[in-house]
Amino acid sequence: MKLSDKIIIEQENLIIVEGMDDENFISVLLNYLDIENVEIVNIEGNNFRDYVPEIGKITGFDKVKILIIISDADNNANTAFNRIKRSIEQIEDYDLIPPNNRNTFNTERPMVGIYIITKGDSEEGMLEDLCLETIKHNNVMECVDSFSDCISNLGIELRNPAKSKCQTFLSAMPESVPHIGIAAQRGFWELNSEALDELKLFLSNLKS
Amino acid sequence: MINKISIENYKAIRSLEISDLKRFNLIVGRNNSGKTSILEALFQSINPGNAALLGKINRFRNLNLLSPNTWKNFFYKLNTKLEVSIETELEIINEKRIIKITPIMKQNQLLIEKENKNGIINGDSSAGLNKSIDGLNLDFKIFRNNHEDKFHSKIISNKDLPTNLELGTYIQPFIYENDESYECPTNGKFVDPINIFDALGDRFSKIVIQKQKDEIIRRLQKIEPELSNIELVGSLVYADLNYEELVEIKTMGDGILKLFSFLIDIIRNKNGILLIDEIENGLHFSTLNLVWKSIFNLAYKYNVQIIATTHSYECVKSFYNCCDETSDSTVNIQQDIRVFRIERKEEDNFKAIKYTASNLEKALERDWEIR
Repeated sequence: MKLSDKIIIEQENLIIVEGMDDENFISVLLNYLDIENVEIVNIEGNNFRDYVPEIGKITGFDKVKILIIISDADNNANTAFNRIKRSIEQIEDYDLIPPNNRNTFNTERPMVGIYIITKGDSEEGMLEDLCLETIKHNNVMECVDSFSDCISNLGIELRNPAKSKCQTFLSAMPESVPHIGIAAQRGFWELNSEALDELKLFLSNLKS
Repeated sequence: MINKISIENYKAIRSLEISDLKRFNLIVGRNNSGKTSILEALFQSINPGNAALLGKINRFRNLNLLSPNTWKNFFYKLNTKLEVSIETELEIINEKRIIKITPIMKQNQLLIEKENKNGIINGDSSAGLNKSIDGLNLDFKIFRNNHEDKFHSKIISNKDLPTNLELGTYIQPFIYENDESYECPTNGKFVDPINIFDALGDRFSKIVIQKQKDEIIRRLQKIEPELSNIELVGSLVYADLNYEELVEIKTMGDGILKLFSFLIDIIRNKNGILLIDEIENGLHFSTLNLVWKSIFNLAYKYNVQIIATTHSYECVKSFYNCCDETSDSTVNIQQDIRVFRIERKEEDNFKAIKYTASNLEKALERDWEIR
């Protein structure tokens, strides 16, 4: 049982993510990797720039030995990485040193790692792209792609193609789930996909 | 106003520094995080030359004052070889105070120590754990205007205790000698949940004499609108609730009684420092807002610094909300509040995590645990 009904850090490993989908997805992946004792805090409704500099103020942060921040690349992976790097340097009460490169850790203590989610090898992307990569060999994806192409042919630009494809894919699942994080819990994304290899390798640093 | 304190080897605290204290400070932390010890160290710093405070601190803790170990508990891990050090910096009077507390060895102990040095007895020189002490030396330095002054006070156990004690006889368990050349420019009080209602009538009588009781009545009326007056009858305090008779104030709720006591202490410690242990104790959360608002308000008026401890999240929340609501164009309480969470790190090196009003606002909004 948690010591408090508020957000409190009770584990030595802390992962900070952008929202509930990321929290659920990462939590399922950690479970798949047999990694326990990880606290995940999602900053939903906030941005890393405002939130991260103050995380040292959450009760229990003093026990953190490994800190990981996972973010979407959005339009530019480097911009996303640098923004998080700066926010780590600004953490009050603790001297934490961010890694020099994305998807890596520093060599200091506590360990700090930053992972930026991209679409394959590109410099942009989001969690939805990663989810789609895991199921690219799934037969349903042929239909999903034709649907997107068909909409495109009508001259309609999809507001967010990755989100749209995820929703279309999920609509073919035996149970209706509105969120990609919950879809992860239901096992609709293929966790053994090589698309997740880099992220899995990164998270394996949490294995003591 | 104290704005910085550094503590070494005091009770469970190996080391701790708290800086940037403001007019209103709340200290939070888990049990055994040293909150009360911090208030005690601050209490000694308010009047560094008064060795009797060391006896008083033991009394607050309900310790057996006649026990030979009563003085040892001031030392980290009871190790009297580790000198206790308390350093404070005070704003406005621009003073730095360094207090060192060392043991006064028992006479026969001194002899053994001396023999040890001569190599005659090979006793245990490791920690001084098993040695009894008679009392405490209080050496302190005051730095002001590039000038340093040294003083010395001490407190020792009273050895001339009567052998046949009659029931109810008061015995002075210790004797102290304060350095008379030191005149302390600061004043203050330590309020803990046990002594809070001590000598209420006596304390209130001074307020009555100085015609300040309306300051208190006005504020208590916000909790109890029927209250029209407070009277002192002998040493008892009575409230006029417009009944046929006055009622003793102690029969009223804990909330109003606590606020009454706090307000008396603020007025009586004008230009001073009020240390309040477990401020939320006995206060219902619905009363907290009124208590904080009254404290903010009166403490500004009488120029009192408040340093309090709490376990309660509601209390921290109310502290922030009231500061936000009480601020206006003339006074910005937001600049004057701080919350410090005390964390116990490895080897009892403690750390204070500071929250400004802006940090607090976000922490509360994000539902962070901050205690």
